[in-house]
Amino acid sequence: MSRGVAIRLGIVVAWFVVLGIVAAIVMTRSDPETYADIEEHFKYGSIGAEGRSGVPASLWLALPEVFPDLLPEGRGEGYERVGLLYEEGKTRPIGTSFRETEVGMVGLNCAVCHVGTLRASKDARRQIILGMPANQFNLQAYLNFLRNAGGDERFNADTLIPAIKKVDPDFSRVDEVLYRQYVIPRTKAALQQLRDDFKWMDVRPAEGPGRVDTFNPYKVIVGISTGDTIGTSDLPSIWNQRPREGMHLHWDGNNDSVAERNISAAIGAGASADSLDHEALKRVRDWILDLKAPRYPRERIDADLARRGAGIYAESCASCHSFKGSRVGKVTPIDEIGTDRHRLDSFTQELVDKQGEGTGNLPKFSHFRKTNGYANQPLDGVWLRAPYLHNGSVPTLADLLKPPRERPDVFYRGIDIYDWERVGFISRGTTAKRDGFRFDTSERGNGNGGHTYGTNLSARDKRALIEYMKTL
Amino acid sequence: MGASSTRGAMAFLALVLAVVVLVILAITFRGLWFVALPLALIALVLAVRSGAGAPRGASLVVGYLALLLALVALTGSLLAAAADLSIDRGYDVYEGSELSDQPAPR
Repeated sequence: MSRGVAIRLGIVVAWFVVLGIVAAIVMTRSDPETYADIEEHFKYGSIGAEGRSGVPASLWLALPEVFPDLLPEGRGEGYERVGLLYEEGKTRPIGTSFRETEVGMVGLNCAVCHVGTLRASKDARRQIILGMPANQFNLQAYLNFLRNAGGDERFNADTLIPAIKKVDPDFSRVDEVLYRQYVIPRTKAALQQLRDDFKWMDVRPAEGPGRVDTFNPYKVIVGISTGDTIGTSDLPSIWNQRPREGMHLHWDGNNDSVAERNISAAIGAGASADSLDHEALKRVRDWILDLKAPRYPRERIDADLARRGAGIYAESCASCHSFKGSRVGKVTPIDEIGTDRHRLDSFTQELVDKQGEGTGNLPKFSHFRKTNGYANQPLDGVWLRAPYLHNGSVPTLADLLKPPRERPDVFYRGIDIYDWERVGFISRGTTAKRDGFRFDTSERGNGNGGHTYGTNLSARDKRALIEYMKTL
Repeated sequence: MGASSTRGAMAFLALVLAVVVLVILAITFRGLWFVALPLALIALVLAVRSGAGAPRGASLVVGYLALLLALVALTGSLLAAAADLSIDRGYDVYEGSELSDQPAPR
């Protein structure tokens, strides 16, 4: 081999060595935006959900600009229309995270489902409450927005790049080439895959704000049929997790490990076994172990009435719902509790088996089991957890203490104005009708029957019981 | 024709091929990577082989320039191929989606 050829071959080898090193650095990059403050971390930090379901950040910012018609009608702009909450001075809403990978990605985190809002009256300031069910967030609407955008003919580089440049001043010429040639086509393909993966959702009753079908998406991931099951249920609060350790968690009590339940929820937010950020999730876990539920405004509680209600609660409710109750955290059989069974039936033994195998890039779970009823939940902060029952089919505590036939057949949810009289959120009247989601209890999975405990109390005792429950 | 002029022609051909590949990539990127990639490989082989013997002057400059552009062209072709192959063919934006005719979910 001549010297000239040897030199040239050396250059070729050196070129590809350097290229390999650069590629390895870029492809293994995973730098989340981090927050020292735990509340900021909870609201905006990454738990690794960008891995499976993230959207390239610049594109994510521009989508509402290009597809405003694909967002639900209602108040607010952009992602506010699906119920995401913006704080002053933030470019992303609560519940979204950012992670720098090959490109910067936006994902979801725990806060998207566990931060809610409250207004004391129609004109009052909106309070953001951490750990509360996200009563205003419509996850289904968010997913449908992405699914529809991915299938829209406007989803192309020529339309999207000018919009991206408007919303992202840091979008460079290199970014433009990368987005045009790879990111946009790849994202379109991924969103069309998302559209396919969630087709089961299109033939079920709308979930509406504050609710999610937790386990049917799992079935798609592990490759089993969703059948015609409906698992739509209310988003839960996440306060006081320490005393919940060992209880049967989830509405049907299908898991008794807080840690495993957290990982399962992170998968629901979009993480995979590979992408899950265990350290970040542990920070959230440690924080919510002792996170307290906000107190009901003291001035709105009739102390004497509440004292009387405490006795009724101790006699009628505490065994199932007090942290020290003998049946709390245990499963009450469906035949006894009598509430809508769709959520229970949607979680199947077949899914338990698959979760144990760790298929579909899921972690291997070992605490899931099939149950035959719904778990008795502690009622900390119950005043902020309306609507009630696992499927959110009863709007207020006052309604819950009525016999099922007297509970509202139709009401509106997703409003954050508080109903101080009935204890829950405004669910009827002009405002509710205009701004809320119409919840019809006659639809499959929305049944409001069962849980008749306390329905035979006198009107006075019911008032006393509700007054006491405000203090939980 | 002497060995030296053959190497000069090789270097020039490599240079032309590399430029052609770069033009293809600039226009289509993912669209014609399967054409760009073999051409870039040929350009690289020619650019390396043009160094046999002891080229001097313009031949030497053209040879190294061709080598550099061939490396850039090959890298671009590989990136184009990787980008194209990593996009699920069933949902490829350039080929349309099997779901595109279905009514949009709301």
